[in-house]
Amino acid sequence: MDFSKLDFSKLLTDPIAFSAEFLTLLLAGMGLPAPVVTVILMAIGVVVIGSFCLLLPLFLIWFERRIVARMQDRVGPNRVGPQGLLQTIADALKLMTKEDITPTGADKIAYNIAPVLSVVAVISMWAVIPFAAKVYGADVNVGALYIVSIGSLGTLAIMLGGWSSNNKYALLGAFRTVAQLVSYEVPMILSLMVPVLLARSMSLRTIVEAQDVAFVVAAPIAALIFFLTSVAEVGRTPFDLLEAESEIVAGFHIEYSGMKFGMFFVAEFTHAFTVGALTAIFFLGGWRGPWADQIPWLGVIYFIGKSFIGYFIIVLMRTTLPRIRIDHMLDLNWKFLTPLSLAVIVFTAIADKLIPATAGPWARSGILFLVNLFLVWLTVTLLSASARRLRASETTPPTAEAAHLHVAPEAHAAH
Amino acid sequence: MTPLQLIFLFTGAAILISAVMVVVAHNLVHAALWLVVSLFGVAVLFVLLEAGFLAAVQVVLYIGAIAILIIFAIMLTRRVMQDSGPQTNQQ
Repeated sequence: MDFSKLDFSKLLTDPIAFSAEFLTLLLAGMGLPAPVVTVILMAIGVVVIGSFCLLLPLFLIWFERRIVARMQDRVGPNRVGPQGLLQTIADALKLMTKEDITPTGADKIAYNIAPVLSVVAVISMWAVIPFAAKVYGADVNVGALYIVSIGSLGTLAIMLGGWSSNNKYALLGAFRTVAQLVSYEVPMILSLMVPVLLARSMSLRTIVEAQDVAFVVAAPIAALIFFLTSVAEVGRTPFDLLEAESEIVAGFHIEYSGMKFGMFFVAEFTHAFTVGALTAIFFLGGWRGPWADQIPWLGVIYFIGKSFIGYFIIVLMRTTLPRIRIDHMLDLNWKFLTPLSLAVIVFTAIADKLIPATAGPWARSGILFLVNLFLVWLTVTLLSASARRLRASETTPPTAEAAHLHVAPEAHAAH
Repeated sequence: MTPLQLIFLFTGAAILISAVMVVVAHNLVHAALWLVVSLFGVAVLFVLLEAGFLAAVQVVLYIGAIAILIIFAIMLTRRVMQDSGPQTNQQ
């Protein structure tokens, strides 16, 4: 093996390419043919990203439990390990020792596939997520579409789990899944079109590189819609109708026990963090930040930090907001978010075309921000007008009734 | 044989087998699941042909929309958990 060809200065600037070169040399030195080396390198990449996604919830669950405890004036897990960091590992060990139950009359194949599919759907998303300028799994040129398409596999998993359990509450959870996840996909995809429009590419890496000014300035409404609908896609409070404890016990995963339940749990937490990561990539500028160009490892830290901002907000929403009613949830989606996201796309596309190409990134973002402000004003005006109409129509019938009551005695007296 | 050819052969076999299973499966939901496998295999074929856009659209449209609609419709039918017997007639 001849490692003298390696350029060790690349370890800092381009770590992935460096380790790929190192492993190629190492494996080729063992006498393996080139295609086999490529396949082994890809497998290593898959294992690294997959284990990152599976180990992440160990930290996320502890993080969330501590924050929720703080918000509810409790202490939270603080006994196992420093500050209770190892509590989740203890919980996972406990889950693995539980009995693995398959209920009578359950559809065994679908019942066992569902938890696996839900984890697969979330982990596959991380294949295209760029951690830094040169640290990413794959740079797919339809990355945004890939994220959406893989996300829809999670819906399938929840439906299958709910149906195959042979339990009426689980089935109700599955029905709610279709009502919620499938319909919230519409405004989510529409709001994703805005950053794609601004960056003129669907590749996540190009989208981040196009953000000289984070897209949250140029498209604040789209950012908000994307974040909200993504929370609904995860099924977190206030959109946790699929597993509403007080209504349908535990929804789609009521019959699952042991590690199969654990897999749904892992999928939910990783998905929540993925929402933060996607918001960071599409709207907060991903790995970009001061000095991130010079020191690539700083980019990874910026990216993880920005992802945690989104995750933190999701946790805060969970602790502060009550569950939304199902008709309100569908009203919010079809009567508010979908028309608004369509309007955002139209306005952004027209404004983006009208702004001269010579305008700098800040001027461009500023004008688009003003367009967004105008849209907010328009929405508020329209909503308040419709609310006034609604209030007027609600107050009319009682007055008519009162007039009728008032008239009635006179009519009686005339007789 | 290159790894790509191996993947192609494996995917092709998976598509054909699952397509046959769609027609012969006794349980309707299982038939729908086999359909998902078959459609996903087609998406893999698109990836092998370096048509990433078609692959993503294949998954988002056929699995994300059509297969879910089919499964949802089947879920609403009665006694779907029971084995309904072969789908073909014995002539």
